[in-house]
Amino acid sequence: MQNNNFPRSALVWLLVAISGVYFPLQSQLPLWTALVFITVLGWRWLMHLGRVPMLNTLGKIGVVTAAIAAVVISAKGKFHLESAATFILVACLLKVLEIKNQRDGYIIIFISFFLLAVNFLFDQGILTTLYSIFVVWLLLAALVGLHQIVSHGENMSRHARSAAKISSQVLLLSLPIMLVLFVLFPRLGPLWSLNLQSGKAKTGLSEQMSPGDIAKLSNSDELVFRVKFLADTPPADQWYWRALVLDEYQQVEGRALWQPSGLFKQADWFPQSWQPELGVGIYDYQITQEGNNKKWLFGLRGIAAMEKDIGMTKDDRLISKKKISQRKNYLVRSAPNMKIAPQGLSDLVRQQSVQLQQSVQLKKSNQKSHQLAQQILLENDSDRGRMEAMLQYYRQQEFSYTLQPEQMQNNDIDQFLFSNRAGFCAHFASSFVFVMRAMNIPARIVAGYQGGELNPESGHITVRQYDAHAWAEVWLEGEGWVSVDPTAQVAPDRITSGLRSALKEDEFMSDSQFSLVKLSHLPWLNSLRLSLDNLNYQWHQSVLNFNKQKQSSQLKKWFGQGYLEKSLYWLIGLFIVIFFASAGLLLWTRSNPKLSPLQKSLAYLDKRLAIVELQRKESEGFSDYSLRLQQAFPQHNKSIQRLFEALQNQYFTEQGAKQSLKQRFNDEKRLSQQLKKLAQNLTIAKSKSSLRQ
Amino acid sequence: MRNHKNKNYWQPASLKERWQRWLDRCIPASEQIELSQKSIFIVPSQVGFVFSLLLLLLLVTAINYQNSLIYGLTFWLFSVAMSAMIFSYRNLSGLVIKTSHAVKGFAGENIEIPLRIVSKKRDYQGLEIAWPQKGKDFDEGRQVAVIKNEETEVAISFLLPVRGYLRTPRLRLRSYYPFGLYRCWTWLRLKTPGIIYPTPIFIPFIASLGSGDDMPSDANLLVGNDEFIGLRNYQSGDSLKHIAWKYLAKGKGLLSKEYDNQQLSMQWLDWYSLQGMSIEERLSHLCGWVLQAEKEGRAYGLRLPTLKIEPGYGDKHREQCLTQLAIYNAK
Repeated sequence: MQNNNFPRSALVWLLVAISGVYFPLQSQLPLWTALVFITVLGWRWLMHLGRVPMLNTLGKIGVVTAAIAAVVISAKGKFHLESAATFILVACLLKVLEIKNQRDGYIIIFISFFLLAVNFLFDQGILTTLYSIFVVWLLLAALVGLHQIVSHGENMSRHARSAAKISSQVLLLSLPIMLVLFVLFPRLGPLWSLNLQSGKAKTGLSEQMSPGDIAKLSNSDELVFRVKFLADTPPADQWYWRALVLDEYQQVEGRALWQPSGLFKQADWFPQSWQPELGVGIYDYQITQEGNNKKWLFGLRGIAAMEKDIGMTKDDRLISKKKISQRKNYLVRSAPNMKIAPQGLSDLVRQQSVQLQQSVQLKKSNQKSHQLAQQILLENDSDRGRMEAMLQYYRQQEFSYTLQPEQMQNNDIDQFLFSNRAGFCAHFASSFVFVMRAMNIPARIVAGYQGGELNPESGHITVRQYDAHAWAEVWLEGEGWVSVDPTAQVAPDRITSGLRSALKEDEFMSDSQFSLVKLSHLPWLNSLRLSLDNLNYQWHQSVLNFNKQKQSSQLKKWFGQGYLEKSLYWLIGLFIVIFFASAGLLLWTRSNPKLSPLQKSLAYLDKRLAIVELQRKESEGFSDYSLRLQQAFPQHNKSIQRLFEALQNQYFTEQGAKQSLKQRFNDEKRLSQQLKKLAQNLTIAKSKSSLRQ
Repeated sequence: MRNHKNKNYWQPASLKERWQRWLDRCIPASEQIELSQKSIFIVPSQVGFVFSLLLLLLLVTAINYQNSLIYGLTFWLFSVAMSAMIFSYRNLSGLVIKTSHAVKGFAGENIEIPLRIVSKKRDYQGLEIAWPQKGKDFDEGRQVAVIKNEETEVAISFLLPVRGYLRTPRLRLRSYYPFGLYRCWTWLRLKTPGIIYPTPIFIPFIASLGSGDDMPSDANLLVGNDEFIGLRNYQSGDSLKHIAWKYLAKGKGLLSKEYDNQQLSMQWLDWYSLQGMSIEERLSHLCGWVLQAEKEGRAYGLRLPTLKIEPGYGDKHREQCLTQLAIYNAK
């Protein structure tokens, strides 16, 4: 069987299917794979047409060496998911060049199935899923094509159609079993933890922040996470999703650079960690976070870990034990109004929170800001008063909020506070914390996301990259760490209704030519967008997140006690039922096509008369048969003749012209009744006569 | 070890016989066979096993990455593999295989045995028909596709074994269609009418005169359009049959009759002239003679222990002689 030649008709299917597999992977893999893809397909097609010969051994060795070299070079020494996928893809493509027999076809198709699965590691959207079903269909059709026999000169389209048909049939027929398995097949935890992960840098927050960094994120509408509050939803101005606390200030090339100091790396892991009792002002919520290859998680102020492998740090953040490389679903509890560290700060933390410069040389920078700090320090007598005064400063000095601030070189904080006065949230937070620290008040930057879009249909909040935000925390005696958002002083809209309302229309998402988010001022389009978002959310919740916990809770709901065993019985039972139902569906062929009442009556007559061996012979006309019957039943002579003449008329005259359909139908009905009656009469007559004899 | 000993009690031949008997019961030999669940066997193919490895790999990937969509893909492909079983079965079920015209040939000769395949149910693709032949694998099978309501005639090459009535072994009809994941096959014994003649052995004729009564008259010799052209002096070696006895009686000397084709002379192909040979050898020699005589245009008669065929000439005669040789003492 393996020695069979590769059928030419299968090649077209195979090339189309391979293209289908490659197309979504292209955006994930190095660009040079596109070149390989085009070359291989072109070359193979020319080979098919007989324009170019097959590669000889030397050529093959050359191509394979070049491909391996390209994979190794583009991996840059790191073996991650992309390089593995590239390797498999290139191997598959090169195999296309040397298809000789059926076995090569199998190899290519099976590898393609695997590549399709690999693509699901990169993208799991609804559209990708639908598209992948289409590719599975193509691959199955190619598999069918591999077994077809096309004789020379035969029309290939008939074969193509039959392959397409069988592929669709098998997919549809196996859909029920797939669904049963999907729901009932027991989900297991990972078998080992060392999985290849994507090496691609993702857009998103980074651990170092320089004012202006976050502005870059504002051009991306990529999904970061989704939130669903389980009971109450806090007011929108409290939606500050913390991710990072930046308490280390440095000056690099004259610009401020903020990053985590590393003081708070220690985490209390659930369940040892602190957990508030659920009550008024305390919220439980589920976060579905997209993979970002980072360890930090998101949550509101007053955060508490609620799940295994999640810990909370002393700077009020959540972290995960492992990097989040895949979408992760987790529960968080927050008490946004609680006081954090009101009893005082340790010396180490205090020192870190007022730290500004290490070297004397840099002391001269941002002199104006230091002077402003001195002025505020002297004018007010409490830390809270000083903080308010600084916030007041932003309002009074007509600062403005923009995504495209001018480049600030040296003494960037001075430049921002005294000359430019236009900037993004990071500029505000950075300058605010700087001035606070200059007054020896403990302060730090918090980076994360702010706001999000509430979907009215499902009630979940979608947070995208352009919701990235930076704000400040100040430690006040007796109050602990207090959250302050200097940006809110200048652009309150940014906090209450999102980035778009805070900016001029042409500034928002200025890099994206077309984005549904950008067009949300059209009401119908906006509601469509929200519906799609809801659909996506449901998809994530019900399909993509169908994990061990979800499965067991669902099965418990259905089967109650002993659900594992019962679900197994159901699995087997449904499997057998569906299998035989589909077998019946496939193998059952209508033995006799649908008969009209008249044809049925004729068949009935035949059946009755067959007992006395007087049935109508094959190719015997009505008139001949009528004569034969008349001879056999002289006593029914007349009625036979009349009936068969009517039959003749019914069948062989052009009725459509004369009669309406209804009339024709009635005639048929009448005739068929008469025929039945005749059949009965005749058999009775015959049996009587045989009795007499 | 014990198992090994026990193995000896199992006679492989008896197993094979049992299998054959079982087959004969399930799929009896016939002129026409319609395939149904009684006669179709189905098992996963090699490719099917490779596919199950792929499924395992996909499942492990799904588990390790906790990826619902890869789970979905795995389950879908698994249930495709299950449904493929039905599709494979469907590609044989309902197929009707009939014998075609009778075949004739010589033992040891390769001959095309015709079959007719029809179906009223659907199209059939990728059918492979082959004989189990010793020393050869099945690779030389024929690939066939059948279109609904169209009769497909296939001729499969078959090495004719010993002379006698044609008795073909079971024919294997196999298909991997549509996905190659299953091997679906059946063993058919078709009662193709046919006669196998002995393998001819060619040696020069051994003259046989037969008994006096059987001696045909001269007139009988003039068969066909070969014409008597004249007389010539007798030369030693001339056939006695060609001596002009009438002239001799009239005292005109020993003359031989001359025909335009000297070869055209009557020949008795006699079983008894081949002394010291086995039955099969004799039959083979006789067969060779029949062919030779026919080729040379001689009239010939055949004498076997059980019957005698009067001398004659032509295709029909030849076939009659060959058939008698074929079925001589045959079961």
